Amino acid sequence: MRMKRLAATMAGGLLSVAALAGCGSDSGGGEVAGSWDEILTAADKEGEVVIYGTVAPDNLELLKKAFEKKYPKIKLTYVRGTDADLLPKVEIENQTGRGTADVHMTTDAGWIDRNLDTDSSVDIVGPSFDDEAYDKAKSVIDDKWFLTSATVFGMAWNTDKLPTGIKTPADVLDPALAGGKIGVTNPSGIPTYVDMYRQINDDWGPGFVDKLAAQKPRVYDSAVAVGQAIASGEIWASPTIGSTILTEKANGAPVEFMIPEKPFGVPWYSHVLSSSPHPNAAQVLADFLVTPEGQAAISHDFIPVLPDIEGTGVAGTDVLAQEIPLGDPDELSGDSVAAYQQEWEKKFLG
Amino acid sequence: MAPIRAVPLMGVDARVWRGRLFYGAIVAALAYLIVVPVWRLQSLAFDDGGAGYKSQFGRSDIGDTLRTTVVLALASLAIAMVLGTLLAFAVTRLPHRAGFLRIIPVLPIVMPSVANVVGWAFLLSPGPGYLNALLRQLPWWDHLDSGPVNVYSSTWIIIITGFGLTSFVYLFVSAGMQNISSEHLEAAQSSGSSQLGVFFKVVLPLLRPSLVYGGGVALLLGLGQFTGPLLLGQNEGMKVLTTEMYRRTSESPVNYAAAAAAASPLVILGLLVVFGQRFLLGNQSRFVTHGGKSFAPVGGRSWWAAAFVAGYGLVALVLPLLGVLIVSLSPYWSENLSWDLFTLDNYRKLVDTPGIIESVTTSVGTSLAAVAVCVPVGLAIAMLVVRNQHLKVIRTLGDVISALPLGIPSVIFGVGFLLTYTQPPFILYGTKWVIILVYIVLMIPFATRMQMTALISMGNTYTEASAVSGASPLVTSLRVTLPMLKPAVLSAVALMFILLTHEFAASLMVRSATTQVMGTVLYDHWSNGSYTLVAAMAILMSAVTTAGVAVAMMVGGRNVLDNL
Repeated sequence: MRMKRLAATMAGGLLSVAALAGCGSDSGGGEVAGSWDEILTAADKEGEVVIYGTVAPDNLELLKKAFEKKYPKIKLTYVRGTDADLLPKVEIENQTGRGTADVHMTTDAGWIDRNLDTDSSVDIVGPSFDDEAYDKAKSVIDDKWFLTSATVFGMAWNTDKLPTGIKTPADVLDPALAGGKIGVTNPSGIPTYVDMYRQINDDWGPGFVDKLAAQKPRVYDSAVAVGQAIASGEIWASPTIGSTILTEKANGAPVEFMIPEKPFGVPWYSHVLSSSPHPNAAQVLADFLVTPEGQAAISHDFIPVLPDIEGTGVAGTDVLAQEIPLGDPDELSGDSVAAYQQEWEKKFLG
Repeated sequence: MAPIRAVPLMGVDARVWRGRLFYGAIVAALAYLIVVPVWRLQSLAFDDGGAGYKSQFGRSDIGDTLRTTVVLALASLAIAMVLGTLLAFAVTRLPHRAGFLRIIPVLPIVMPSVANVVGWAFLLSPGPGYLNALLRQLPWWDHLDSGPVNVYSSTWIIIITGFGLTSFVYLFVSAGMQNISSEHLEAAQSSGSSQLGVFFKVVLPLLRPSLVYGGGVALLLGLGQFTGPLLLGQNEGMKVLTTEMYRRTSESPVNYAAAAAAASPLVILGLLVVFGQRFLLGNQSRFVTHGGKSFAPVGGRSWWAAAFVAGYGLVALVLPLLGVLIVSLSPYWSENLSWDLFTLDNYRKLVDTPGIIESVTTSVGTSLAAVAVCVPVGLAIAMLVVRNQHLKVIRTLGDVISALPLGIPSVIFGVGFLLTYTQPPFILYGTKWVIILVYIVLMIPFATRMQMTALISMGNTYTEASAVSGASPLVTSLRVTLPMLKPAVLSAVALMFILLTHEFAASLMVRSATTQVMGTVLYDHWSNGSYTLVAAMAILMSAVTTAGVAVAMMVGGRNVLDNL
């Protein structure tokens, strides 16, 4: 009898599980429709699109608003993370065929190169890629990867803590800033930062990175976290991207940003994933990203792919993203990045 | 005569076989859930001639990582053992008017560890930390522009981890303390011993079994610590084995083999403790504590005890909660506070920010689902171990397998589940099922042990007395066994709900980008530096757990947490 009670209780428990969990997952999407109009109709029916991006969360929020204004029947969901957060997820989704993301943005030149010969992306078909101002020949790789935005690295500082400001990168090597007053981003899992450290080690003065490490800076996981730490006064200065700092400045935080003589820039490329559960909405979002409305959102305070877009760009430079080259994939192979990461950790965390 | 004797024998045989099948099926399902992911993960480390071990243990900083893991575990264990034991003793000496304070040592369990850790960061970050800002007002520190405390240093991570483990040690020790008869203490006191003398000469020796067991569990928890090192340690490069596992799964492509290799020392230690405990405790029916005479808890009139317990509550609960609360009401985190700046915007953002409300429903839904499975399965395993001693093999397997998740850090189950359920035959990645399954695994030891303890301490006398009085087994179950188990079941439900709505380490591994729980969303915002939103999220997490505990108290009475 006790056994029956146990069995009944367990069955009840299991039924509750199904009821409480409301389980389910995104099923794989259908086919991409034929003409662009058919794609638009199919996208409306799909009603949802998901983008993974390493761009600042505020820009993804702007993108959501702008996209949903233009396509009110399609809900945009964004997931912001570093390449270390997002690349493994994209790979797992592709491997299992259980896609969540439809469109994915990255700055990792090595990863893009390694994925060119795989079936992880589909061709882009939107009409905006043929816009003359976009310059498809310079902006699209293999009909799959499309240039979306770019950013530039410079020096940021907290104006309360450093009222005299920073004139050149060498200013952060001042012994007064040693012992945790400078912040740096850990390149772990983010090859773009490996590229950046290699580059500024030459461009910002001989042995700049070694000297920076000797300052015993505080280490953060992302440029966004560095931006917040400067705003809060947890750190006083950092070599970082301008966009997040400019956003904090606009929010009233006591921060400032300068572009050095030889800035380091990096472009974002995006692709539509073959594991996309909403293949038509994915094409519509991809197309939207390179329109003026899309650029005003995704490239707000970043470097745009189209000229004359209000609110885009970083003070001190008028370049377009097309002028900022993607890193050399040969120097960003898995082994090369892992070796540099260990070297970097020894310098900065050893 | 022969046919008359054969019938009952066949009945007994059939009952035994039904029992074997029933319990065998449950134990097999648990083995698949608990053992297979860990086994698959560990066997990966040996693939390609041990490439995983070469990759992880060939790193130049592996010595530091191992040393830090051990130091963090031992030092935080020492803090937790001292504080936990003193708290348990102090609670027994509380004056009657301060009796309400006895809830304080378990309250930090209600505060999520991620919320606690970020609370301390808000207080003791060298720059804008509120306590640091106050300390810099002192004349001997007024020349400092940061510090004096650095919450990101290993010393402070150890202290915060130690505080976190204290409540667990307290639970074990106070359970042992309740079994110490007041006669022993009164006899010692009437023989002229001071309170300190009573503590060191009577209480501590009698507590040895609880201390050894509680210490063992706390050591394993310390070795598997993940939240503090991950959230605070990255600033100064602190690495422990669990954070190394996380890093290896954040690489592209995911290096499961190296993550598995990093897990190996923790798995081996966990197995040693689980098997060692079983070997040492042996026949658990020896620990029946219900006797003929009642064991009234000892009382006291010691205001030092009240001060100590209240002081602990202030430091372990109130201060971090205050830090989180202040940041959650500020437009941005800064050492400069002003009433004019206080705002509720961050709470409004909780509703507007994508994914946060979904994470609450996912956390609550998956936690309740896991609890709904764990209670009956835990009861079945408890019945198997306590009341089915004739099923020797199945009983031993059930006992050991259900204890394994207590010995193996949850982050290892997280990676094991990520590996197992992103491959055939069950591809569950991106669904809530994988979260529910890993939650079931993590909670099975609690569901089993708490119900087992209740069954053991009941002994057989109540059911035998009921049977002798003429009650059928059904009536005995309904009117004796289940009512007596009710407090234990409700406490188990409350504890599991608390632990699961806080769960972070395993969830971080198995979540997908859009199927998230509260802890993982909080971590993402922490990584992105959205500190004010993190603070509001931490308050929300604590509120959800508190609401769950309140419901448990309404159903099970106010002593639900006492029964932990």
